[in-house]
Amino acid sequence: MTLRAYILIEAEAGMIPSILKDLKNIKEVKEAYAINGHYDLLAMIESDDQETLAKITFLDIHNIRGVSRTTTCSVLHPS
Amino acid sequence: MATNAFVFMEAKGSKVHDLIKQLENIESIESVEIITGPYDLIVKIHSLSAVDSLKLVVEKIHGMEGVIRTHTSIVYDIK
Repeated sequence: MTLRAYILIEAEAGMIPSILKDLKNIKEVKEAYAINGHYDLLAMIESDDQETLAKITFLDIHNIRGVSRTTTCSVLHPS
Repeated sequence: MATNAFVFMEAKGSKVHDLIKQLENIESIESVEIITGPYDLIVKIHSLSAVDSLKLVVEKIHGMEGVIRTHTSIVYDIK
């Protein structure tokens, strides 16, 4: 079963466009958006296992230049 | 111009499933998912404009039983 999570991302000033590009280069990132409000970007990631989902957040997304903080929201029963 | 928006929603536990049914019946709502983290539901809206999305949130969603708090983020069109 495919697991899905939304990653809410806070970014350093001026870094949103480049973060958006970097997110779209990650295979498991199926959707990525620049948004207004409390968070700056929203990424939807999908994988077949929880470990890969965690690695994408901790390694790939946290290593993108300009990402300052993330909040992970796992989807229960993805359709 | 058509706009996407995400509504992050806190909801009363016992009302979540009724809320999902009501939300899924609204034409401009593309998806409703239960998530972990600081919010209970993530709702994706696709409408003609940001104003239409905000009207939907304020005039319809806020009136639904079980909605505690919402946080709306409009998607920016950044390439």
